[in-house]
Amino acid sequence: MSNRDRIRSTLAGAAGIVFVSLILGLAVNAALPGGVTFLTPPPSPPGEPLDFVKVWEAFDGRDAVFIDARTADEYEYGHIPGAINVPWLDRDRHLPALRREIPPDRKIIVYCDGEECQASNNLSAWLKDRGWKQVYVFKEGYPSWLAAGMEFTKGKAP
Amino acid sequence: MAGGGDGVHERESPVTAGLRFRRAIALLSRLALGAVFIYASYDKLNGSQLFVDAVDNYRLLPRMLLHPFAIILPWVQFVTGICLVAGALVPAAALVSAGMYAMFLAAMASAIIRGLDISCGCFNLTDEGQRVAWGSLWPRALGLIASIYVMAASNVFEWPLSRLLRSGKGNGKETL
Repeated sequence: MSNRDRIRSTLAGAAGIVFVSLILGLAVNAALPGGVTFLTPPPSPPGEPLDFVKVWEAFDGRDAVFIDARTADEYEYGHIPGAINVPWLDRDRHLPALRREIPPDRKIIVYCDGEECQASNNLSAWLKDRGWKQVYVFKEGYPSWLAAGMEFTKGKAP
Repeated sequence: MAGGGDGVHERESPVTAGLRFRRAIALLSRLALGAVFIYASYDKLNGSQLFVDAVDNYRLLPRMLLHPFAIILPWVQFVTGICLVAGALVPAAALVSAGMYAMFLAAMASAIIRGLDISCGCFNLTDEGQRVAWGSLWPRALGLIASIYVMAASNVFEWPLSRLLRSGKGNGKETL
């Protein structure tokens, strides 16, 4: 067998391996439930906005997880009690912990520094993209929480 | 009769011993590469959302390719691993293996250069896993070298390494 033939048969074999893998991947993905869809879904819109009263009710009834999308320094200076800090620019690093701690059907309320701040909108869409179904945005954010005289906590994220 | 009966062993020439040693290294490389690919693919074969996240964290692929890539790549790893362990289509499997390791190296180096602090997504998807850092590159570089070694030992290319591996017998037909 000439050098050219050996290279040709190697390339054909490699293409065969990739083709068989493609068929197996499609078949198993179609046959077994539980996996992700083969086609990537379109990007999710930001979470539905909640007004202050709804946010307070969720806080008082402990029926939501609060996520603070501000920076670690801002979070340390003061945050809603029990909130988890997931800075927008550092979100990837927090994803494994979020997957461990928050079930996909749990209600989540994301906030940042108020109407002007986009981090809560962005983070809520990012969370919905990753499978959390009930994600809401507290649009007025932390400044309105403080202005209403609500309790807050200081300190770093655990 | 002196020198001609059973139980008298001819001394193995140093060249043949060297050839056997190199072939043993190639065999071990092939089995190790295959085992690593099978192990790496095991948790991801059914389209894991965690693996989609891991791929997305590198911020290299357009969104529409994330799911197809995360579904197909583990199967390419698995089939390649099976071929390498079973000794089927070895040159082709080694070529695919080299391609994957080159891709992993490029993706990781790119993430480090862009300052991304992300999980590797290589084996452990269930917790923080291994972070991408300069130290994560050398095992992939070793995998790339091992893949090229297996390819060369399979007589795919007339490289100096191929000729070196064949030296000793002289007929140029030995393969793994």
